[in-house]
Amino acid sequence: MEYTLKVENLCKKYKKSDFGLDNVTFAVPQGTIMGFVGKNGAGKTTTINAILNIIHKDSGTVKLFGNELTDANSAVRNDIAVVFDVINFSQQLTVKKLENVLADIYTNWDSKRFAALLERFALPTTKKIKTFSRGMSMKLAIAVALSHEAKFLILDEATAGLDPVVREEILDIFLEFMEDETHAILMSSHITSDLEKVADYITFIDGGRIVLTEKKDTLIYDYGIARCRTAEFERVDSADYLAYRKRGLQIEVLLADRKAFAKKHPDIIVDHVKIDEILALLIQEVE
Amino acid sequence: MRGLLRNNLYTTQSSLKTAILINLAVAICMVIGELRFGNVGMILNMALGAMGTMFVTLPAESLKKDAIAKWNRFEVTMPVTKKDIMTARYLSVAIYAIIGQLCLLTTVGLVMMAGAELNMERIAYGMVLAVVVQVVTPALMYPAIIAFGEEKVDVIMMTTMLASIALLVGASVVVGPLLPQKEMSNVIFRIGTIVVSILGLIVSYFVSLSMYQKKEL
Repeated sequence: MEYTLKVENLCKKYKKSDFGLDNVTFAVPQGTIMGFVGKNGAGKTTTINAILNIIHKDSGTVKLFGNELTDANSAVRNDIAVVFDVINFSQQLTVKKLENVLADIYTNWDSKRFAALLERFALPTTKKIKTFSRGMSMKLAIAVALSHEAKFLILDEATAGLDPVVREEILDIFLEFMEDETHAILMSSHITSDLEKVADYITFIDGGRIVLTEKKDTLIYDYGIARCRTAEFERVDSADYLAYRKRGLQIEVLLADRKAFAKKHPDIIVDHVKIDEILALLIQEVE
Repeated sequence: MRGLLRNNLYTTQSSLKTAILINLAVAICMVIGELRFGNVGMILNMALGAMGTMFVTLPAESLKKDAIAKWNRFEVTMPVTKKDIMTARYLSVAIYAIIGQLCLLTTVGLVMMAGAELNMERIAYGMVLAVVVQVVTPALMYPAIIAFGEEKVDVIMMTTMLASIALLVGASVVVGPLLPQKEMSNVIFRIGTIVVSILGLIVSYFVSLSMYQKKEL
């Protein structure tokens, strides 16, 4: 399997804070979408910043297309497109002027593709960016990201704050991008329903540590959540579950193999589990 | 790097246009004043000082707008090096200074064509002051902004602008009496000041680059 991104033992500590990345290790295989999930302050953006060399890592390796990304080998960044949670272009520019800037920077800038995306998103080319709504701004950022023949898309909360219709539209664009099997996406998001729709893998991060990386289908079809009372829970072997939490009188137990558990404990109710439930249970376990 | 330079100029385009238009308006007023009343030399000196200052604020304005847009964070994800980013910033300074000087020279030229008898000694001093402020202010400002943060750009810009004026005045007080020939001393001092200012800008570039390469955005 070829990997677009490989992060190994990435560590980063801050002098004035207890927070840091602690041996973050995960990989994004070529042709896949990796969902990157965690609560606020879990380390998603710090990890992305370290991947992009925006912050300096203390130790560990980050390899993009097999190469370490440094300031000197900036050409690799032609193959990477980044969309942050807010638009990062000067508010004074029109879309046309922004294109002039970017066409001079990206060697593979595709004006026709950019024009087609602007038309598809119904974005005006002569209005200043400061007049754009959040939805329009994010669409513009995505149009830019998809107009320089990038092979790897890094999205840091790119769909946050958008209405469901725009989010659906943008997710469709990402799936179109993935029609080329050499492409890959790393998508950090709070909106786990988006990831359930498009992601192939999900990586959970909490407190600067990777808690779990798993195929999305495994999480949805094999993982499960058992809801039981204290007496029932006491009968369950700790090897049969990954995490649990108490909710009122009920105990929710996260299972890696829903069917095997149901077979072993036919009297306990076992449901499918959603990604945000997995996140909540895993985080609670870590805490 | 051309794209980065273009971005810097686009972000200040509106202010640059305004500065050029105000310069043009001042030039026209000076010409009309000279033709109707004569003896605008003194006012012209003050006007040149004010006009030169307009161009000094442009690098700071560009940084401020970039900081608001968080462009700096995006910039480093593009296929450019931090050296390209810093070089584009310093080249922008040179472009603003050249445009500023051209505007001042145009104004002086137009007023002279209208028949004004100008005190060239004073005019030359004003022009040197403009060059020094336009070059030394960003030379001090860029490393200070990297060290203290872009959110303090206004305070840093004002402080460094005053510092650059103080440096020129201080230099003329300290170095002036040490120069031997009185007739040539002014010319030597002015050329020397401009050369030192440009050298200062070059040193500032390397200092800023070194700081920026270590900085986390």
